[in-house]
Amino acid sequence: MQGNTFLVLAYAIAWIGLLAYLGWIALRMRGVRAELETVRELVEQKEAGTRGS
Amino acid sequence: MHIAESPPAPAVAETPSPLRLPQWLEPVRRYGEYVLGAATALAILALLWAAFAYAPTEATQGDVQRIEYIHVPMAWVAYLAFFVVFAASILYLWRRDPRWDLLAATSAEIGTIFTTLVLVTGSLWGRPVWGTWWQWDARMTTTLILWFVYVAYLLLRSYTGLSEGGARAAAVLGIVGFIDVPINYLSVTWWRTLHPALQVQLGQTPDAPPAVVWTLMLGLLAFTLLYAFLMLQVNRLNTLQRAAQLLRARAELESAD
Repeated sequence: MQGNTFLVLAYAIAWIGLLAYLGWIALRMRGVRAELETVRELVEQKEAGTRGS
Repeated sequence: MHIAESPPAPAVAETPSPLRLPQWLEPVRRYGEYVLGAATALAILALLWAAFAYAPTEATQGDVQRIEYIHVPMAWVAYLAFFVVFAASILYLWRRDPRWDLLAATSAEIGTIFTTLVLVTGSLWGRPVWGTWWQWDARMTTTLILWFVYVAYLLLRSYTGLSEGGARAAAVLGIVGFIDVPINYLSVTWWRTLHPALQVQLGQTPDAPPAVVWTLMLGLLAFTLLYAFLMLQVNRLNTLQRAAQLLRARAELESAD
């Protein structure tokens, strides 16, 4: 491989790596929103149970 | 992170509350993140222009030397991130405020990402210049040790979940692990290594041409802004994640009663 190939590879890996990390953060944020939704449902179920008894 | 199984481990005392700013700083809270994001993007574009159009081609290495303009700033951000882990860990052990623990965890994650990229880009520079992907010289070996220390830190946090004991153990590792940072920084002056010596040092006239020094400075600025932007995003994510896990664990316990 020529020197320029290594240069392109280094920049590509660095920026793609950082973009992938940002994408992973966005995915985790979706997971947290789902988790919060589950908690909301749990609380609603509990409140409905309390009212029913 | 995962929720501790029943019976739950002693949880970190409280859910970290968001920082309360005075009224006059409200616009900073509201628009600061957008300004920071835009400044980061601009600085990265300026860095790419400087690295490929402004900085001269190095006489012996050729264009491959331009890897330095991302490799060195990423190494700086890794040092900065691990210093934040170190300082936040001390503050957590002192104050027992979970916000410091979260800050340390966030910074360790970002620092590990940047250390990984430092190792990869360094290896891609070393292959055409030294003729080898890897050398067990002082700088490279201590960088690899640094990477292992912070991977261990993240694994420890992952296995211990939300327990206070886990946060304490991670804080101790964050403080002890930081010892490797000054060793890594000074390794090129302490030992004869294959890795190039420092080109820019405080209080000394740099050996490199001004265009190279300015491009490196621009790189430091761009990656420091990127670090600050990532810190905001990941810290918010970790705060919400921890709050969701604590609320869920509490709701499940109350449902079981």
